[in-house]
Amino acid sequence: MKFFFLGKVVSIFNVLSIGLLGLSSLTALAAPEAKKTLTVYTYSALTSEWGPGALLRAMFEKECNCELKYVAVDDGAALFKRIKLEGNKTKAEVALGFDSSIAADVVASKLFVDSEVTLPQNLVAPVAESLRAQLVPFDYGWLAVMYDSQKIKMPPKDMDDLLSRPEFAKQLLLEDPRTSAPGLAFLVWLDELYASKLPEQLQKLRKQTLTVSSGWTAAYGLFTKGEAPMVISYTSSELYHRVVEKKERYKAALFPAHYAVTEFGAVVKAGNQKDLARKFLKFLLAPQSQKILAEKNWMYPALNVRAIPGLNDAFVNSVQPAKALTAKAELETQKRLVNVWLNAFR
Amino acid sequence: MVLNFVPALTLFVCGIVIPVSHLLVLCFRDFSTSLSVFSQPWLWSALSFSLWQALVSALLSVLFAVIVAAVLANRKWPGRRLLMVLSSLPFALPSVLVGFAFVLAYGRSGFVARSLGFEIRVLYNAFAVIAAHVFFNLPFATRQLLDALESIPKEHIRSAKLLGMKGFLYWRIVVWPHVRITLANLFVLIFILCLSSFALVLMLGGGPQASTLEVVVYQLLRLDADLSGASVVALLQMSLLLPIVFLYRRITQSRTHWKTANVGPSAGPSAGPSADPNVDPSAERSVVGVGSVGLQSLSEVSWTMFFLGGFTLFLYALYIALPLLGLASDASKGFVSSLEFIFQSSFLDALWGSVSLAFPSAFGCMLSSWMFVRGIAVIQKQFPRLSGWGVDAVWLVMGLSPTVLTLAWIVTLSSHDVDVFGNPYPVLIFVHTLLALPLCVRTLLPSALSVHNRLDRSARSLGLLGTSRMRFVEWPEMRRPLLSAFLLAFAFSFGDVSGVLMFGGGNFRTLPLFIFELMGAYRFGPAAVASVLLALVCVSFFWISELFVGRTEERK
Repeated sequence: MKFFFLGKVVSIFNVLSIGLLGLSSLTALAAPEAKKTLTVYTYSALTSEWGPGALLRAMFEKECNCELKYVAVDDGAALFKRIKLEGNKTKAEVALGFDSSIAADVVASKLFVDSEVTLPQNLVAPVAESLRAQLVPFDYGWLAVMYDSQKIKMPPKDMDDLLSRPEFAKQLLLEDPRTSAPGLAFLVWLDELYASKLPEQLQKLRKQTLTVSSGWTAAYGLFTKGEAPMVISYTSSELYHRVVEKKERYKAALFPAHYAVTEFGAVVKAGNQKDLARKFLKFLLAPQSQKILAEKNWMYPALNVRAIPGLNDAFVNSVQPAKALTAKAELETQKRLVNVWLNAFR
Repeated sequence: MVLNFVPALTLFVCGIVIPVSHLLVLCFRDFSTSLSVFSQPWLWSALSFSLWQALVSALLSVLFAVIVAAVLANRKWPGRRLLMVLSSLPFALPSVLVGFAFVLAYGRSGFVARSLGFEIRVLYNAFAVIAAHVFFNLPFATRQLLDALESIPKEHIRSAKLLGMKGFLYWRIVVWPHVRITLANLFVLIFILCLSSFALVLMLGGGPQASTLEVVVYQLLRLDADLSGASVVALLQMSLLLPIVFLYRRITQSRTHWKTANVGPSAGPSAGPSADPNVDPSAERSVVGVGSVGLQSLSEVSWTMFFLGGFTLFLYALYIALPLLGLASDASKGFVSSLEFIFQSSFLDALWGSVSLAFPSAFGCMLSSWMFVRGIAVIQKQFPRLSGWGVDAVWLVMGLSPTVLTLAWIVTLSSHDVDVFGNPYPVLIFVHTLLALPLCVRTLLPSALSVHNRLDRSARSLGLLGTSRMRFVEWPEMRRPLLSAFLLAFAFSFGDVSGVLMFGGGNFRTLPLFIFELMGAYRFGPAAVASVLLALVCVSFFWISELFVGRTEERK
């Protein structure tokens, strides 16, 4: 009989399972209170091993004599909603990583206070005037169609071309605007371009679409596995393939105008370390932090690339779209767009 | 006896009742806005899609599982153990990986298309979703059914042969009473799993026409932070289970069948000695599980059975293996450099994180559900209604949207100033134990009831109570279902992403999270290799435990 010890384990487990909840609260009590702790809510790609999170933390902790703690959620939209749900019980001091498609909503929520960070002169990330008081941009990117140049010799020239060329039927991978940030941003882009003609254009988009994934990861995964030769991503995806993989195969199709997605951080109203939080946002705009953010997050730095010493040449030399579209959508607009989209795709 | 319910009840109260009632309070605070969800036109299409795809997936999975298990049962097919180990694999894969595996096999440029030499277009519709759900659930259903089929006492089979029973009659009198509960369990279980399916549905469904209620829940939380609306939809999803659970009770609680199946043999000559641990159990004893002793050699099988059966098994193996081969072939591109890359990263930490999460939660889950089912077995005679309600509650709880449940947890805990993010291990172990509990209870319930009905009297007469009863009477009989329950909980916890994603962040890593972070950082090659390693870790773990249980059974 192997399981003679079972009896003991069972009784221990009785105690254990009752105590588990208590235990988790104990761990909270046991945390040392020597240094100040700054809790930053952000999205998971930022805190991953290959993201900029760890390096930034090390640098900031050296400067501030404090402890930086990340809490990671799915993405920018989930981040904002989490803070909204937690209300004034939230542990967050800083929210880092929501993008321009929901920025208007973030400001309107009154959950954040003024950042008191003067945005530098050499800032290039597109930021609407109404957002400047509360939100601090830390990087930005251009939403774009990435394509596989081995399969597509003549990439789409603009949105009309993408939506109407017959050979692109079922060649495009989309993200669902209900569940993903680039999905929603793409929809806002289309709305900015077509306004009242959006429903017909969405019908065309539907013909070009192979499948709609729940998020960027699934869509881009299908793209690299060769399921379809086009996917909605950022122009900077091209830089990743060129710099890390040394491949020229995957390219961004350059349109006359692109939707610019700026990523922001903000100081949480319910937090009680506001000075430290402001210091952290300011720190993110320093050239050395900008270099890390760009090279590890695969987005463009918020500052002019020439103001950042040592930045990888690929960023400095890359061709940028001529015109930036910076539509912002309030919650009502987002909901309306999603409904229009659902009606077109059903 | 009441003690038996303590772990499971604690889990339910702390894990579900408290956060869900918290949600309900939030829900009723602004009741009118909560109800505005119902005016959304897409809600009803999501509802009907959820319902029918879950129904079809569950029906097909169970149907195919019956065929495969019937072929496999009690016969010594070559590679049988390998097939069973392989069958435990899909369940341990995170659903996005199942999606990728499917695309890699049947996609436009997938494994099948490449070997056929032309592009095939079968994915991105409702049927692809159902096929993927079958891929995910069929192997697990087959394993469970096989356990049930092989738990039919040998003396039953022998008596039936003596009486010349064949075909339908044999099936109706001998087989049906033993698989009835398992079949019903599996159907409801798979139905629930498919009902709350999410990423897989969006990925393979080809568009929002294929989206489930879980997507609506997620959307409400994401777009509107509408917790009350989301809870209404979650409750709606739960209510879809009511008719199913009702049906389940009709099937499992007809008492006449019960008597012929389980109480009957306890009066027979074989039950007495087998309950006594001091008497060496003879080969006559009804072994629960796949002792290699009782297997029929293939030479005794008729030719038609041999060919038809062999063909079925071949198709089954192909269906399971192709997506896995797709994953493997994807990983083989640049394998060495990818392998180097992930070992330079925190792969081993992530592996350790996963194991130290999955092991305690699987063990805890197995023990608490074991205690729960023995409690149910005891009270089912005196309080049939109460035990019935207890069993139904387990079902309904499972139908609650995992997204809402996890969120409710976070909101409840953080409103009580519990730092869930500081050390996520206790909370995650708790959540995984809780979420896998219905799975384990389902796995253990049939054999616990049968053991109780057959051996209760003998155990009492020997004065075996409490833990010594678990040790001497139940453990030898329930060894295999207990192992299945443990492995199921282990696989569940090992493959979980959504829970880990919500509580994770910072330095905490598990293997699936590691894979997702790799993909998030464009490292799709290394991610493919890491997924194959995840599969290998699971397979070897399952293999070792199969060997362990197999050996202890042979020794008997």
